[in-house]
Amino acid sequence: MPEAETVAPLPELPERLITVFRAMRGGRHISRGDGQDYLDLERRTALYEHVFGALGYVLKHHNQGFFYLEGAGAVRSDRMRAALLFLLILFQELEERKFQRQDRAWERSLLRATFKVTDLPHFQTAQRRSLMAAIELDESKVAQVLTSLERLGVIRLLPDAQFGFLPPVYRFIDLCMKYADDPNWGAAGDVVIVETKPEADEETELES
Amino acid sequence: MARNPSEFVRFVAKHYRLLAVMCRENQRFTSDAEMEAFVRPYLESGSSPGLLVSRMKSLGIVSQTTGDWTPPPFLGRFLAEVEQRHALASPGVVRGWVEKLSGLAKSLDALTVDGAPASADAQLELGAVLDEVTDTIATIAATVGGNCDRIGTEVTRYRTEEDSRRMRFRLTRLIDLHTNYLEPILRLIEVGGEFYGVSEQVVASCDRLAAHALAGAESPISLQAAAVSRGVLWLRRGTLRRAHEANRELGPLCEAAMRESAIARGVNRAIEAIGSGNWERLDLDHQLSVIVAPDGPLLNDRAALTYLLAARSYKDAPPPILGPEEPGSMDVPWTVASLREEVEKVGSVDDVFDWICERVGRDRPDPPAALLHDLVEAASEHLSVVGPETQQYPFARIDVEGRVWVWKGEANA
Repeated sequence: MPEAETVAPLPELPERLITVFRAMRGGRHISRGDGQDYLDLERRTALYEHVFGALGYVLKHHNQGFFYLEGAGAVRSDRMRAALLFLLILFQELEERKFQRQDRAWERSLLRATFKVTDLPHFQTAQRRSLMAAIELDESKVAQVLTSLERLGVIRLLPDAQFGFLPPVYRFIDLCMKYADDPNWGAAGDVVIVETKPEADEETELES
Repeated sequence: MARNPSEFVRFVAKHYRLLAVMCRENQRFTSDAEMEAFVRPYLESGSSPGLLVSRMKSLGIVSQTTGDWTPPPFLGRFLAEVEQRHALASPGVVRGWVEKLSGLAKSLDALTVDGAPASADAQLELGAVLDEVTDTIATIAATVGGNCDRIGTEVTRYRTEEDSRRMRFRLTRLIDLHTNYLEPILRLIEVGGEFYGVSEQVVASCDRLAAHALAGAESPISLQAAAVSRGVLWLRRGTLRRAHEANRELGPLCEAAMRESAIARGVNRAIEAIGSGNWERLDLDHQLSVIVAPDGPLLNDRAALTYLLAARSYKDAPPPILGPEEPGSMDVPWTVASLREEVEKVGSVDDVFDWICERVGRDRPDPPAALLHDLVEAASEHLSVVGPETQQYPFARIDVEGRVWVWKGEANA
């Protein structure tokens, strides 16, 4: 009588596969704030990679502690334009105002900061208003942008018309770093730290 | 001539403004007249510049070196310390001192290759080299320490600055200090750096001399060498510690500032591109792709998806009706039953697939392959595979490779 063949059992599918897949296919970036979904992804990353890979997706794990999907069928970039411009203007404002802060820096505390929707800088100057208008965004549509960013897992909406950033905001920070490091980008107008000329006494003191 | 310290300090206190300017500007005077002209604006009315200059000379407030009258270097350092002004030496200056130390280390090595020299002249020379080594190491430590103090002062000024214009300037200054002063100096004095290597050489030579003293008669030169060795190690450790402290203070500040500066550069570039309507420059399709298909298909493989969509759109349809112009007769298609009937008549066939192909044609491989498969299913007792080799079967547009099946009239055992 032939010996019975030993068949390796199929690996057990991840516990949160359904909710994780549903959320990620909807564009969500899953970070620690997503609780069990994030923990399951973190614990069984290799298995998730395998399952998603077989379905044609690439699971990405960012060093800031979040996961997202890449692959064919990604959303067209024009749908990301509003989100990107919204964040660019906010980053620009944070940089410009950092010397009014106690810590004189903004990036390290980005995930702890909260922002009031009524204080947003997007419509405070003509240049910014015109940028926003170019993609048909007026003040009434800010809520839509925030909802879309929340759906992506980039921000969390807080009571009293406030919001805070979640780790996936670093996809946008990384993007800015890429643009900054791009050697093919023209150098004109790139000076960020303005070298204000010191006053006469200060110059003597610094040159000593 | 011995100085009177009380008189010296009293003079410095009384004429502090004059001396502060003299030291800060590193004034050198070739004559008394030149000195008198310089001190005149600082004098009270009725005082004589000649008398003051003469007093300065007698107290040692100015001394003559290389022909010029200048305040002694220690006075300048003392006033700088009092005013908390720290001279910032460039890494080139520190490197110069390290190179000097390197030369001394070589001399020391040559003089101590066989232990302590016996001759009085050589011992004198060795003593001088050891003194020079001590001074040089102390200078390096003081220079690096001065830089660290200066950096500490700059960091404090930045932290207490309230004017945002000055803050930006000070931040730029801090980044410059970190990049152009502290980091190169750290590289120089770190373990494995040039300074570290040279000081190790000095310590090895001094230890050789000290060991010589332990083995035989104790000599003053060996004791001096042991003291130098301890001093070098102590100063080196202290210097490195101070540089690391300065780096701990300055490093995170600069790192954050440089990173934020880079982010801001990227932001400005992107906003500029958006402002000019040049969204393509941002390459969002590749740089910021996000899957958003909440109700889409499970599969994200385009080829598989296309196939599935084609399969889903298949509809069963009746065969086409033959018109009057169609041929009046047609070949009856082969079935597995008719094929089996035929092969049983033949009795045995050496290559069944080839035999089937002769009957159904070699236009496409699918029909004969399907018939062979069905025949194997239906009459497996008459069919068997011959050998491990494969056979090529040519078709109109493709060649098929397969094992050779044999039909035997009698059933297999």
